[in-house]
Amino acid sequence: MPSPAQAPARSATENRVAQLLQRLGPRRQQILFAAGAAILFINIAILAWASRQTQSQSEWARHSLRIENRLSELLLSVRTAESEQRAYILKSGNTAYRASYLAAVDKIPRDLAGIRSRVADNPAQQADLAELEATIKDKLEDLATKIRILEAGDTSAAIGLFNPNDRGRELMTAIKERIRRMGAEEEQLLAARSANFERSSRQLLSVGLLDSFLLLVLGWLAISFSLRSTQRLETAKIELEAKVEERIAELREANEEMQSFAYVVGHDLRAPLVNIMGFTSELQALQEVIFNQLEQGGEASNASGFDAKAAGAEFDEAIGFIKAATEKMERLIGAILALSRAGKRELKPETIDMSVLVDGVATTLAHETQAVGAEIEVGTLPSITSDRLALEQVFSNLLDNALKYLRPEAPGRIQITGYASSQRLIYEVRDNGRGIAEADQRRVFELFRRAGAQDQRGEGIGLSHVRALVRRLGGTIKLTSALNKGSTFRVELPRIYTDQ
Amino acid sequence: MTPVTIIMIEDDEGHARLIEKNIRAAGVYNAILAFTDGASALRHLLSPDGSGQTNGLALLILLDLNLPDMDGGEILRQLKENFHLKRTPVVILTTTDDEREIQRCYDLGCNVYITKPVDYARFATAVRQLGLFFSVIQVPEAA
Repeated sequence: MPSPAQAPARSATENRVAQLLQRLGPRRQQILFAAGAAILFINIAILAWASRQTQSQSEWARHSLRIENRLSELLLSVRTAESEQRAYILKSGNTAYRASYLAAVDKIPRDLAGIRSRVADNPAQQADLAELEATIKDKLEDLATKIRILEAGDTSAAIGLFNPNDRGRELMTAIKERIRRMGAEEEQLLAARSANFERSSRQLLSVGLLDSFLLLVLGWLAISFSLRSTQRLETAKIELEAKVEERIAELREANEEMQSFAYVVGHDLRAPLVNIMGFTSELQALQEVIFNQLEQGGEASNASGFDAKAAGAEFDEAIGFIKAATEKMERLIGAILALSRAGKRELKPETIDMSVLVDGVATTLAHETQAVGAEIEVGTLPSITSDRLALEQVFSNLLDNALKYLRPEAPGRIQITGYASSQRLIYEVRDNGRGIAEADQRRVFELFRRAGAQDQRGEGIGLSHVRALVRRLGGTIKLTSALNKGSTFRVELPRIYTDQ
Repeated sequence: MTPVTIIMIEDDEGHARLIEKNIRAAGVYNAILAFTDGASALRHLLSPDGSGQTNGLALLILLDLNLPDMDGGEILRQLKENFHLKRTPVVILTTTDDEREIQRCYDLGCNVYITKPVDYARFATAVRQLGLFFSVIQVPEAA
């Protein structure tokens, strides 16, 4: 199964980002996404605004050009009116010129009206236009005056009116000047609007670019976050699978133990039965011999080869074995019942100062400790919330074993240490005794099984009892040991006992 | 021919006594050396130097599987792996009748596997027949 550590190595930056996202938590991650959406919305709004602006800008440009057009048309009309009037006067009443002159004069008010409607939004241009209109009116009046003189028949007087200091000339110059100014004004307005548009476009562009960049960053964050969550999901899945497998292994082990327990009970109880039945049969056989002898009078023992002394010894031996086997059976059944009771007893979790509890257990073993010249050291142990009686039995069995299986050549030294590891507490009972061979390290936890030299009393119950208790408390027990060096029993328990 | 010594490894003294009685009843008078635990039996068999050198003794081993200190199968393995003892006949005489256990013992090279019957008449018959078997089989001298 691949472990998270085998996942492809990622860059430090990516890791930092992932950590940052992890710290953000789901609530702020939502905010992150909302921010991304908002920026996207702003970008769209900017785009819409910019396109509308471009449109109105081009409309304004068209508008300005139209005004300029009208202005030049107006100038053309005025000039046409002037030149046609002049030609009419010079050609002494050629009516074709008169018609052209009248058409031009006629067109001037329409030109003016066109301009007026287009500068309605601009008071400065309106003022200019009013003055222009007045000047044009004067000019047309001037032109009309000369025509009237001509038509009164005084051709030379009319021609005489054309001189360098003519008022008509002056007026024409004023008109030209004013139209030029109005055109220039319109140009300036257009330029100002263009500049304005360009500036705001540039600003919008930078805002848009910044936005897009932010959006890019947010997108990248979101993607790496989603990658990260996928990875986390994968890790969680792997962890879950491992947990399930562990649990299955535990169940399998418990099942195997159950089977082995039934097997052991069956066979170990059968062994004393073989003795009881065997020696009972032997007694029966002996009884026949004895009764036969009694019937024969009991005196002629030597004649039939009957040895009363030997028969008595055999009788005693058989009775002895039957008694021993019965007692053994009684002990085995007692042990099985005790295990069963321990399994049924209701556990009452309470907060326990383990240093005090183990100290108490050590005190009850003070006599034995002194007898073998050993020393028990109880370290500072983490407190636990669990069943007091079960824990007392666990540590009393472990300490008792440690005291029983010391090496005569080494002064016994038994240490109990403990520490916390996340939600589990670990207690270790370490001795420097004779140790347990590797082949026997599983076996010692089995019911009625022991290991090493059989120089101590015992039925092989203690450790199987300890293991059953530790299991009930939701923990595990492990043994590490080396022959002639010592053993360490490592009890791992949940910090708080919960009934499963 | 060297007289065969019967090595009996049996932790239950009552069983040991009943086995001895019935072997004797079958007319087998070979010396019987009894051990009540695996470690001391192995110490004896493998001799103090652990080599298994038996100085030409012919042995026949009766082995119980449920020993207090060791797994009988482990003793069987050590005997069958030993250069000097590998040909010595080993008879497993035990209460266990588990199929897997019987297979394991034959795999490890045991020569005969007998389950101790609880019924004494059958127990006595089984051990006496084993005694008769002991009286006829050829036992090789240990190397």
